[in-house]
Amino acid sequence: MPQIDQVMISYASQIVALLIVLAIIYFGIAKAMLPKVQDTIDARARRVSDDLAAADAAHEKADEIEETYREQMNEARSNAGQVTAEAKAKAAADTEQRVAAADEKLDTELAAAEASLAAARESALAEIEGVATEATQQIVTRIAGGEVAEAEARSAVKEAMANG
Amino acid sequence: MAEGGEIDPMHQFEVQPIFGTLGEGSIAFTNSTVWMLIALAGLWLFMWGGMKRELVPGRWQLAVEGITGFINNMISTSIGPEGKKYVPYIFTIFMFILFANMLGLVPIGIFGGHPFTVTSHFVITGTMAVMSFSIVLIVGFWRHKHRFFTLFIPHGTPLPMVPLIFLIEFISFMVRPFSLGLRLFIAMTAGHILLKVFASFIVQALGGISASGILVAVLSFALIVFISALEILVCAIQAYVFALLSTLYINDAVNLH
Repeated sequence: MPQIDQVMISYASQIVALLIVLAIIYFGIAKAMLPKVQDTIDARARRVSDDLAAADAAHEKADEIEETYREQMNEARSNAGQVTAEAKAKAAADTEQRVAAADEKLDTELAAAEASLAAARESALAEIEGVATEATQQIVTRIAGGEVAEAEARSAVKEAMANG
Repeated sequence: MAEGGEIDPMHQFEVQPIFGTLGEGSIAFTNSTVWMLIALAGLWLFMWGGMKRELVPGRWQLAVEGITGFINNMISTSIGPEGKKYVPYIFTIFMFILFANMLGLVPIGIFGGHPFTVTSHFVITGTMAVMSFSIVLIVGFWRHKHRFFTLFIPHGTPLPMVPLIFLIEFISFMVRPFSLGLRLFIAMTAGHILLKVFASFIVQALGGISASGILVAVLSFALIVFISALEILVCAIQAYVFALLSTLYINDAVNLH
């Protein structure tokens, strides 16, 4: 077996070569190249997790924006309702006021008309009374040939008119 | 390979000087040195191909990153976060053993070349085992001082049993470098002897053309194919076992159970 037969004459050559080669691998590859490979792996892992985190954040932000949008919509809707109600109330109040003003005006006009009507009627009645008194006097003069005092005729007319 | 008509399956393990001469204490440039340098070059090439540092890795980069992740994973599950500083060492021995094992199987014999399996010499595997063992001792005593000896007394040992358990644990601890080095050396040696023995069967069986000779040759060839596949598996497994055991031993030194 050469491994045993040659031990004494080859151990130094083998061990020295081995140690040199292992040292080159250790310092030249394991310490120099390996960390770069590891960095690449780490960088990729970091990038993937960062991207995932960014996607999550974007998702969250989108949710937030939607939430805000919904809130604003709700607010706008309730505002619109309020404005409508206010406008309605104002319009109603306005209308009422105008109706009231118109009513008042109509009332005063009505009152004035009634008053003038009453005055007209009164004057008409007075005129009729005067006319009737005169007519009564003339009728009495023509038919009875007598003369009736104006006051007498007037009281007779009044009596007749009061009766109907 | 054939010396005097006989095929010697051990010839492949012979260390042959290329520059200088072999002798007690002399340092020569040998075929072993050449194959170590080839392993070094192969490993460097492999790592260089994986250094493109692309965000989406190609196949080669994926292979390099896969092995890196494999070693990192092995260390972090065995030692924990403190094991990070041992990654270069474990990487060094794992990759060196893996490449040396695999290079011992390259079929350059058809071109007249002779692959030499560096790891089939216990001088090499023993040296690496001693390196791992030294790291265990240095780290263990540097971190825990004399408390490192409590490694030999498992928790909950009854007091009367302590001396006996200590002795048994101490012996099993001291055996570690031998078992670590011999396992790899024997696995590599046995596999390569097996391959050469079956290969010599083919040559001898075909020496005289006969029906039984051809049958033996075909069977031997089928076995060589099978054993070669098995050997590729063994190459990877032995590299893994050496690295894993070194990791577990270092874990003992770092964490004391």
